[in-house]
Amino acid sequence: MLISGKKGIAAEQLVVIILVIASFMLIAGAVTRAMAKADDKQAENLCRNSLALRATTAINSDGSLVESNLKLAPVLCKTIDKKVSGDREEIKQQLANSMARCWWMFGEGRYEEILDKGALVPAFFNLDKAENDCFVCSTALINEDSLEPITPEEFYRYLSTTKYPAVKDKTYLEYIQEYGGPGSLVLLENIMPRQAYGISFLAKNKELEGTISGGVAKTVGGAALVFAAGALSVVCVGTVVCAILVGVPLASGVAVGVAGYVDIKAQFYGAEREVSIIALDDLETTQQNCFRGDFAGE
Amino acid sequence: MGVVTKLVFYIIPIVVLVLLIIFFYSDAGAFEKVKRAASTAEQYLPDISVGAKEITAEKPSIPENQQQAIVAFKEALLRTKESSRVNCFTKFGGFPPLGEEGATLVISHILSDEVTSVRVTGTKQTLTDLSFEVPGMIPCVIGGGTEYTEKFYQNYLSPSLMADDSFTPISNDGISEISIQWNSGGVLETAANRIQYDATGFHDFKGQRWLYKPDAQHICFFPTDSSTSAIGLDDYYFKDFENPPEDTLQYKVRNGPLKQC
Repeated sequence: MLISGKKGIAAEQLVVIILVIASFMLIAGAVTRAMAKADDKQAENLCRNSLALRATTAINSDGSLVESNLKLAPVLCKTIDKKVSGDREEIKQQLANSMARCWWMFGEGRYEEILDKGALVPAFFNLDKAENDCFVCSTALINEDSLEPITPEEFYRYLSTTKYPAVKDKTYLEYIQEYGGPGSLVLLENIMPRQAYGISFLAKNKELEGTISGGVAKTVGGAALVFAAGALSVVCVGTVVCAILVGVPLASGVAVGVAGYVDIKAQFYGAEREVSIIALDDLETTQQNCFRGDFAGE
Repeated sequence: MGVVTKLVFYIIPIVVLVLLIIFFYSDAGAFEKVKRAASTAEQYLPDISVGAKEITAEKPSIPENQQQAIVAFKEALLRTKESSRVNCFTKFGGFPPLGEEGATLVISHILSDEVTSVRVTGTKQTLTDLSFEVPGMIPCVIGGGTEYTEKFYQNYLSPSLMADDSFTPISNDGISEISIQWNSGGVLETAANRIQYDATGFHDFKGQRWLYKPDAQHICFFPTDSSTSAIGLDDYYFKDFENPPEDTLQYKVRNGPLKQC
């Protein structure tokens, strides 16, 4: 009787211990997720605030002998890595939010050349103007095994017809184009399952005149095509991919192969920009052309 | 001694003062020279300010006549799509010269959403107010191969064509995107509104005032060439004549046997 009583107590304790461990694991998981989200938000806020301070404290000198633009405050931005999962609409929504968030972090395009170094000596000699900086705000791994490719046209349509919840009566496209400073969206790849993408901010680095606008590029079965014009360039390569490149100065009527499409992308990243751009591209190309990581720890 | 000293003490400074006043403030005085020198130096000194220049967005726009043409194009597309007729044609005003600073139209079929989007962009941004969608439409062209252009000629434009309801519809819908914009087309060609629908580049678009609806879903555009070729139909068929000859599209739609949508 005493033995079975002790056994009963032990079993009871065991159940309690298991329940405590299970609860701890559940709570720890939730807390870790919440912390990760808080970390991301904190990183976004820090980035935005550092850029605002950088803009506010910039010292501009404008004269015949010396023209410089010193930005003394550091850029405290770091790339945020995200996993994107869910159905087709949820994936589009998460990517759209990341793009809008990137625009928000960079002051909604209100500051030009915000990423240039602005060091004293190069500034005096205007050497820093040669920089063509861009920054990878976030990466997105499509954490789904089966997903019909989301073409740039389809995603562009989503961005131009879906309201951005954080801003009243503005679609994602309108938010980026018209809400703060002038901006543009560029989509360079199809969204595919198990692929990683980079969402980057490319700062305006040219006085308004006529080079970059917005667009979609596309792959059409080995043979590729470039729809190009002063304003809008649509690049197609192979059967499935077309990119939207509004405002990208590309040679008109040029047909390209897959390798050529890589060149077109290089042209895009190297071009002068009349407006700031939020771009979505495959991660490999993005990090070849834009800074990815912790800007402060560079 | 005392008087002389006093005189010197007062008179010399007064004389110096008078001389200085004359020196500086006469018509061609030194004061003007100093002023000029100072203002010249000012040009070379930097104008220092704190805070980055803020830029604000303006709604992108294109010329008024282009806006009106795009609205008319939208109405023509929607009217054609909604028409209960098939194997029919719609004529509208076309586009004014779009120009380098003007609009570009990108017509994309989005299969997953069963919609065709017409995106209008200016030089830098999408014009959201002018962009629109046509639900259920699939864009196509009468071009991209002689199997389309010559069959279309045989089916609709041949002089031997008789009034008949059994026209065989023809269209090339193996395209996902059509682009219309101001383009030079190629070396030695003058810039004009041109159309691109495949990898072969931009082509003449003299058929820009016409739409063709072969069936309930497709609406086709007419790229053109100097004579009927794989690129498109002979531009002759789309010319605006005061008294259109019997073999033109304008005559056949106005007088039969072809139908208006």
